[in-house]
Amino acid sequence: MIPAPSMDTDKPATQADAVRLLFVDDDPGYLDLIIRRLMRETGNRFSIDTASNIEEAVNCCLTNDYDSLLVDYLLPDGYGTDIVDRLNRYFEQEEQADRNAPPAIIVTADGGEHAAVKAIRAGAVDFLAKRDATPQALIRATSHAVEKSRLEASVRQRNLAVEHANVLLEKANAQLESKRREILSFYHTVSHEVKTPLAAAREFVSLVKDGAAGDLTDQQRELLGYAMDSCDQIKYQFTDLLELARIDSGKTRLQRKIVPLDPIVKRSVASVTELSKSKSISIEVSADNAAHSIYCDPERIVQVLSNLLTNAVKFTGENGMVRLDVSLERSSGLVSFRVSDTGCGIEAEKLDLIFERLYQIETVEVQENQEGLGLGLSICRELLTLHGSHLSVTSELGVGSQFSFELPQTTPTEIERVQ
Amino acid sequence: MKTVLLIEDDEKLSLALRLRLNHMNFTVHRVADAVRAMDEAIKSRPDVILLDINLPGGNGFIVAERLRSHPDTMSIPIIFITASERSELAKRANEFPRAYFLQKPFAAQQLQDTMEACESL
Repeated sequence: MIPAPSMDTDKPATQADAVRLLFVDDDPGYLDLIIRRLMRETGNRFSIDTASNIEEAVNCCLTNDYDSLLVDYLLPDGYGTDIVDRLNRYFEQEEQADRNAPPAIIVTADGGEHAAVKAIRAGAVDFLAKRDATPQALIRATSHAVEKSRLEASVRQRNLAVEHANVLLEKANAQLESKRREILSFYHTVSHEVKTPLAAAREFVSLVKDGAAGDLTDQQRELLGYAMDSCDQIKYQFTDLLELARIDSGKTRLQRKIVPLDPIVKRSVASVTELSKSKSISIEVSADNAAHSIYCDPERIVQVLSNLLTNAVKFTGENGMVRLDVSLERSSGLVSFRVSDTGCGIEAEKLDLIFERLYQIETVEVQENQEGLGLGLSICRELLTLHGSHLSVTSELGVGSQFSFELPQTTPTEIERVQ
Repeated sequence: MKTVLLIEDDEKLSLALRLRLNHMNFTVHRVADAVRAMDEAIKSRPDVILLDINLPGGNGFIVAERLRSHPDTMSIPIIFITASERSELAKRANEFPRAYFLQKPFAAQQLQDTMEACESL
């Protein structure tokens, strides 16, 4: 970091604090005069080197760090602006990224406009006419140049730090992405390896149950039926596990469109009909006629509703009731879905836990049929989050639970247009 | 009696499916790899081919492409079967003409329905 020049001449300064200047002029008499005048004005505020031509000046700059250069426009081997040019090119090289070319002030014999324009174009920070180059003017110009250069260096350093941080961030992201793909692929492999023998086991059981290996008693058939149900449970749990891994890896892409609501409701209810019949649970559907369409990925929403309805039936005792209410909130244009059951209910302190992976509420009823690992609700919540929605729950112990979420009736752009 | 060619490398699943298909009154020919699948298809001229996608010696899609490009086997319905849940597999399977897709494990009824759908082609 270049020290800020102090122009306070009252305080003594050490050599280390001095502003390091390089004076480039081919007139030794002028150099001698101006340096003496500067020294008289400022004591040892300045540490001054001199050079009489371009080559010498450039070499000085490559081997020393100067806070500022004062360069005569006309030099024996070219123009003072050539020094600025060469230094800028040198310090722009990548390996010099942490250093800046020292700021240069061009001093012209007559202060001609032509030279001034050339000086600024070449990247000099300032210019002075020789006749105006009083010690005070030189001090002022140098002070500005050093300050400007210091700020530029600081900006440059910050930019470099930001660039560096970005590179690190991109690298970390790529690593994370690759790790997620690896995990997803691992889950796919494990699932495949489990499902192949599972398919064989299920089929053998199914064959025996169907009497392909001889006659069975009703009880034997019933027990084999349970074995097949268990095989199906293993299958669904691996499917859920893969679904979550896919969501985690960011590979789940929604195919959102405006779709009619009715088929979504019908398909979702149909998926749970068999289970509800077996438990003599009635499913009541109440759908607001005004809520005719929703903007969503229909397959995913059927998946969510089927899952919520299945849970509702699973956690409701025989002869209970499950409701699906769909209504349109006219002010917001949102279609609200609510699945209610008359099941065992969930304790208030466990309401947040049910969305956590692998959490299973332990109730007497559930212990008896021990179904599900509890991945379903996590999947529902993640899928709704992808839709920009939120799955919420309210519950009363012994009375029942309600799961609800909202989806827009139209696309966001259409909502804007209506508004 | 209609015949089925079952191309499946898992020995036990292959046996279970053979028994199931026998139970459904099909004659079953079996091979366990992609290399012998084509020869067996030409030799046995099955009415339906049950084709596992993950096979030693080349995947089920390569076998399906060969089947579809040979005049003797090009119109035999194919039922792809796989335990993989990679969505691109179902998509690719459905791109073949006269093809169906079953995810393992599947219920006997699903197999029965798919076999009937093949016969009606």
